[in-house]
Amino acid sequence: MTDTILEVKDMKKYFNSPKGKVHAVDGVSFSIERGSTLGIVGESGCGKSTIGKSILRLTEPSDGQVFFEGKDITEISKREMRRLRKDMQIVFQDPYSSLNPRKTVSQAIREPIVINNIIKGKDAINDRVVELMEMVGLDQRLYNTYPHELDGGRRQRICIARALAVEPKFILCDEPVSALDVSIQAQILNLMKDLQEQLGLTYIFITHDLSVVKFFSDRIIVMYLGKVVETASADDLFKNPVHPYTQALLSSIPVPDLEARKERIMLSGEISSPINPKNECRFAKRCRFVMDVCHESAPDLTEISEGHCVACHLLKTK
Amino acid sequence: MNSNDKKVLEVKNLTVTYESEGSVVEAVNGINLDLTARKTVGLVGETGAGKTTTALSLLGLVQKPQGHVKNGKIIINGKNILEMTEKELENIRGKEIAMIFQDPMTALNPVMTVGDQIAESIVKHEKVKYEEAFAKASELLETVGIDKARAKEYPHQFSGGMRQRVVIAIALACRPGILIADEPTTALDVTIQAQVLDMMKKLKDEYETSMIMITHDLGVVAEICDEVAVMYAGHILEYGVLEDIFNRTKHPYTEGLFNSIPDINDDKIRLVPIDGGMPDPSNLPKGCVFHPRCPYADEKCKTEKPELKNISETHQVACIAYDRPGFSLGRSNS
Amino acid sequence: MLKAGNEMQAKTMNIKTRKTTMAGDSTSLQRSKASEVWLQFRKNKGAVVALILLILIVLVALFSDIIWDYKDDVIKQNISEKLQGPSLAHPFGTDHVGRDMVARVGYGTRYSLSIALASVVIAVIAGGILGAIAGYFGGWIENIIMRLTDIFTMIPSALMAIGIIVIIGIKTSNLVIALGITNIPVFTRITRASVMTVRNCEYIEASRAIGASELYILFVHALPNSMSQIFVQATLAVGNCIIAASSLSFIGVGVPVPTPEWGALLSMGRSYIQSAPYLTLFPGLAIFVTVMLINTVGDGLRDALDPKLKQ
Repeated sequence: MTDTILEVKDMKKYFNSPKGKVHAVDGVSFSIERGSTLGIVGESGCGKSTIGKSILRLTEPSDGQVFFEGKDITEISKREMRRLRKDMQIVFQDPYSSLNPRKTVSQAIREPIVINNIIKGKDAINDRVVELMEMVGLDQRLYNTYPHELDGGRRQRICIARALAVEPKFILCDEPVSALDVSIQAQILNLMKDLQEQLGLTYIFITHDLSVVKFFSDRIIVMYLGKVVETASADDLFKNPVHPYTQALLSSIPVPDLEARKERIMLSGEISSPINPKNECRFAKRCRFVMDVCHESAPDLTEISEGHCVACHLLKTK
Repeated sequence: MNSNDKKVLEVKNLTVTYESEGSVVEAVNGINLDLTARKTVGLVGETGAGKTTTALSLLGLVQKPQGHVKNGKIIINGKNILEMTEKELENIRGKEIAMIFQDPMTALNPVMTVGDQIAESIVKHEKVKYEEAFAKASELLETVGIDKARAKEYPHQFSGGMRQRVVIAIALACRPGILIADEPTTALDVTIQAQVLDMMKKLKDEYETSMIMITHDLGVVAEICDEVAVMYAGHILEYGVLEDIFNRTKHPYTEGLFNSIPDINDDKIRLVPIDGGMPDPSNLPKGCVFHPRCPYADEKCKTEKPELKNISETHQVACIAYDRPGFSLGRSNS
Repeated sequence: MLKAGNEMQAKTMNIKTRKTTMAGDSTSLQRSKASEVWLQFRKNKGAVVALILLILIVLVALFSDIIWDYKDDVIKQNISEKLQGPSLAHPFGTDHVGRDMVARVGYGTRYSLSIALASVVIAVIAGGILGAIAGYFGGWIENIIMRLTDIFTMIPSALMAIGIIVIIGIKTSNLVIALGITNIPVFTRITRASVMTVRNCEYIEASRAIGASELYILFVHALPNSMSQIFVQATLAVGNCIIAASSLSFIGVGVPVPTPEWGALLSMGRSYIQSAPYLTLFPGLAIFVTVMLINTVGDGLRDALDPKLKQ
């Protein structure tokens, strides 16, 4: 019996642009088990961040439902949603802009506690702030420092402490390490992994970095232009990528290993934006296996083995 | 020494500092670097390692009045560029040594067509008529994989990867002997990065250009470089050919970098990060600059500054731990 | 992409940022924002000199009732000494009813400065609130506020001020109200613009994600981070208001006689400009010098507050 904490059903997010309707997210569905990590991977413009923000209703989705612990949160009022934010938190990509430059470390961490009335009493709150700082590995002497005095790694630790302050069940991590140097990135990834074990957190991990997502996730969703092209367990996806886009994506990662060099699948062309898309496979223009049928209809996500789904017309021809 | 091993660039004991509000930031501390014809040297390191400052000083572009090249020689084709006048430098830039900047979004002038921007450099250095230069520019666009007809378009009409191709075309316009690429693919998506790296490799061979590749990504290094210099806090800590660095890693920092990267071919449960953060560049640690973060450091490392020493024909490392008998790193070296 | 951005920043402009961002290990960096701004401001020598002189002028304004007796020195007529040129006893001369111009101009500092300051406060508060609402919430409410602002801007400000005063009557307090109202559009615009920039910062979204209400975010996060621009604009507006108040007094719709406001002094000296030019020269100089000092300080502040200019 699986314990699903979050379920997204047929989410759509369209934007109006001068050139037409941008289908940033177009019918995405998935669910996450409590305590696990779901990675959402894709290149810029694939809609991965929009999904994240729509789940938390930081932008309102155009269509579709989001069930958090069985409750459809796209239906509830803004006030009710504010109360729910205690359970659902987010860590942003850029620790340089996601902290108010005028608030000290302790003020930043205190804010969510006070707003949500988690703890009352000044001393109790201060103790909690110190405890949280310890939890994320921030030295106590940084209590009264300002974000601009700290490096990216420490700032990201502040952001994580802020997210943890409200004792959430679920944290959405939107490229949390891509602005950091590699040596710092590893520290933050380890920290987040430890916290997940200690606190039983559920993560959605949005990233463009495939090696990070492999390290971090249980399941992975690969997105291309607002659509899911493949989803599988992390191991399965890396060992047996089926969709031509996933294959190309995996082969494009520069591997810091001289022996492990492999044949590279070079994609032609570049990602376009999904403005008024036709009913066709959105990857067709860059696909090396493109067939006539790819331009005639969009492929559905089909299960090819347990937990491994692919949206590609090639499956039918095999 | 045969002509193939000709050194096109020699950097000797280069020291660059920035001064502001009474504090002195030592951005580059006495580095040595040789670039052999048609080879690619990678400068690898994290933010604040001094990679970009090194690159800027090679072009004589260290910003004054804060920046000072304190010491050293930069010899390009037999001439020390640190002794050149601004006029002489201008003649060299673009012609003998060119640079590719990391952000293709800001490296191009938004109100000039891309053809004009390429032609500009050709007109300046080759004293040809504008029409001729523009025709040449169009051909160059073709070389970097962009349709000739698009020469009359403006940068905003191009995607990120395409713009970086234009930037590369500008850098190659006058067939410079030395190309400096400062994180040329960092701002690009992986599939586009693969395209651009592939193209750079081909063009480099075709144009017989030597290249300095600045990057933080060891994957990119493995892809394109022949030699690697690992930089940290303005120092080169390890230097060698690709196999030396990747398969015979000797410096603890290099080891730390490798351990920090999640490896997609390996199911590691935890990463082994480097403790702590970058040192304050205006107040670098005494002794070895890496000692506060180094798991192998002992008392001696806090006081004695290691020199870059040869450990093989091609491989140099700056670490005094090797004075200890039987010392070796934890990383299994094949 | 962001990593690229950071490197770029470290490279191109400032090693200083790099120093501070990495200096978590050194304990010495506990500088507050205010002291950082001061360090930055101090580098502009001209602005520092201007600030010192401006402080002197403000001191004169604050203590003018101690320095001069309003009844005896400033408004008491002394026809026997009328229209004397500058001398040791009366360095600025005396006016057509024999009052010492040093005392008049000196006491005028208090009027001119406080009228300007009070008008700017009104404008900042009203314009600030309107602008913050327009910039933060957007939508129809923004449209209404901004279209109204546009209409206000189309009427020449002097004309509008005169109109307002004519309606509500010539009084010093009414002059303040009129000047305040004419300055509202400037502050509505500038607050809206800076709140709009701040609104798109990630920390606003981060705050929303922890469950903060919109009003809380507006007042705790968005407005304080827009303050520096508003503050700089306010300094410059004080200078403009001194001129505007003087102009209105000059044409007779400003302060009532015999208040020694600078513009009123100018206006009074106008009839004697041939025979006693010093009557217009000194009040004119007072306006000129004060406004110039305020603008210099304002420019210095703007540069000190602009992180992009930090080096």
